[in-house]
Amino acid sequence: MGFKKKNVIIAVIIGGVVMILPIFFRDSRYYMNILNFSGIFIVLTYSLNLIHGYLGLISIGHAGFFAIGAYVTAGLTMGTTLNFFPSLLIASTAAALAGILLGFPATRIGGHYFVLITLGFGEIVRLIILNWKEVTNGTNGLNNIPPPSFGSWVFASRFSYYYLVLFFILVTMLLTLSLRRSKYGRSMLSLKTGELAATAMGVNPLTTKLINFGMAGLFAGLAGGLYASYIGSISPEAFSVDLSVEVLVMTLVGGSGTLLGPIIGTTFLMVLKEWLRFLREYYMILYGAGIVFVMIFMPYGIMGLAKRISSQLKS
Amino acid sequence: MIQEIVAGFSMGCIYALAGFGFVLVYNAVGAVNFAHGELVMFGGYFGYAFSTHLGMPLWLAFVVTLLAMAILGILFNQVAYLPIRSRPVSTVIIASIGMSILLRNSALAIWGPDPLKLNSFLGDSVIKIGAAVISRHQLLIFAVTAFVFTGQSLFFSRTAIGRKLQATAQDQEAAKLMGIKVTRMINLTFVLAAFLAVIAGFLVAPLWFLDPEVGLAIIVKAFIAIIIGGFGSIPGLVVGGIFLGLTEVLVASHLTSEYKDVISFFILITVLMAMPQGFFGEKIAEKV
Repeated sequence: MGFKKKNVIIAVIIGGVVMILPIFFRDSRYYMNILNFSGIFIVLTYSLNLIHGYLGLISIGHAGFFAIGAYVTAGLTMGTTLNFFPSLLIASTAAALAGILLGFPATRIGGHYFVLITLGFGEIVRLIILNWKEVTNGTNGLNNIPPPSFGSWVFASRFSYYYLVLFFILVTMLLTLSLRRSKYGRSMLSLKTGELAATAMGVNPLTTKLINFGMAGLFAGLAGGLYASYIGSISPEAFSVDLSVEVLVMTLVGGSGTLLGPIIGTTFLMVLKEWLRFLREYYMILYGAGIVFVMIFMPYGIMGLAKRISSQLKS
Repeated sequence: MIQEIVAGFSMGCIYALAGFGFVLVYNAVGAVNFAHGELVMFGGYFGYAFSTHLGMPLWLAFVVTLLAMAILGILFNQVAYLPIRSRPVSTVIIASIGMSILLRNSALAIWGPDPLKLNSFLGDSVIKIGAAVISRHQLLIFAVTAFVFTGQSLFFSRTAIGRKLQATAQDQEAAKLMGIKVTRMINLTFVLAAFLAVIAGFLVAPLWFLDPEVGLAIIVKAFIAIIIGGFGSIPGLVVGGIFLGLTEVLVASHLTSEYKDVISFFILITVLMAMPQGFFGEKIAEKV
């Protein structure tokens, strides 16, 4: 499979825009904040995009992986002499291991049973963080987490952090793309369409699902580590079911299983949230109604809608 | 000890009642309604609004709440289930998660974040048996649970409307051919689920107080009860609920109170992995 010329041109244009975008907002802490949070959440959404888009499973426990990434990164950079990057690597590996652990039940049960398992997983992680006060400092959380540094270079400003996050978005995208084009990516999609048929054709559901969950855990752990060192203090309430649901909605609104869906869905919802901030608690009511609306009228998200419109224009 | 067991037993009955509306919808139309906890919460909140804001006596507030929730149940079905009933299960699940966010935040906008107390039908009075102090409200919970679960088996096996509902649940096509109005039956299912939510809401609100998060808290416990008992099984639901209620109380008083919920979730995951059919789960095999 080669790259189409048109796609390469589009990628170059988008890449250029993304590279120079923060220069316009450099002086605005507010806009840089939105951009950076969107970036971190894009990495997290790529994680759920793997599980939902490639295996068709729903997770409402993603805050669990995110929390593991955040707390391990924070703990290692604060409590040991380790630098940011090795800490982030260890934290992501820990989250990947948790992912593999959650992958085992996924080989046996699906549908709403699996949703309940992920709910249980997310809540267990949150409750442990909340109650294991000696390590996690309980409700007070961890404060003064140092910003990432690389040698003598410190990512202290929001502007420099943007490029750090952008780097990790690119890594996640490339990993997703190469998975999509590999044997395992195709195996996952075939399991999603028909598990029995795929197994009969020689797809090993166990390895395939474990790879998927390991990668999903890795991405979410990365996002968690980036989050912790960006905002500087973390506490258990940030990692509730609400966060997991938010990530699920971002995945679906963008278009699950597509390469650009996570970016579009996450950015769209982050900007919408800021734009409608004046609505305060009514925003969440609209948000709930919006989810129902999307499920009824555009189940394949913005990417699905775009595809439908473009194919109608062609015909 | 007796006091602990009574407390665990009554909590378990509430989990079973809260889970019943969920199981009813699941058995009837195969829909997994993640917003059922919010319906239980709204049952409690409506009771509070009618009895406190409008000054109705509690029994009248209960009747009016039943009516209000029947309307909410039908609306729920028309908006978030009927339009997508032929879509994949995940679509229905996510739409119900959307409804739960909508309802939870509506409650937050209407009643605010502070906990509110709904009075019990029997007040706060207690009776003493030896050294154990048991509240009359707990006895009411036992009575209502016994009534609801025997009542439902008579309703579904002996009444015409109950049989029509069962026929619809078993095979919608065939039911339609027999002249049963399927859409009406689905509406009715959601109304019955809303009624059960009101009962659960009126019983749990005096114990846990009402706040916008209580719906999520109660439905999560109900899920664990449902899984322990076996998804879709009604006797299993009661056994699972009581098992969970007793485990919680005994773990909290003898082992650890901080990690009691962690243990409940471990039970959920262990049961799902080791025996996904639960204790009474033969019915799932038919469903799949």
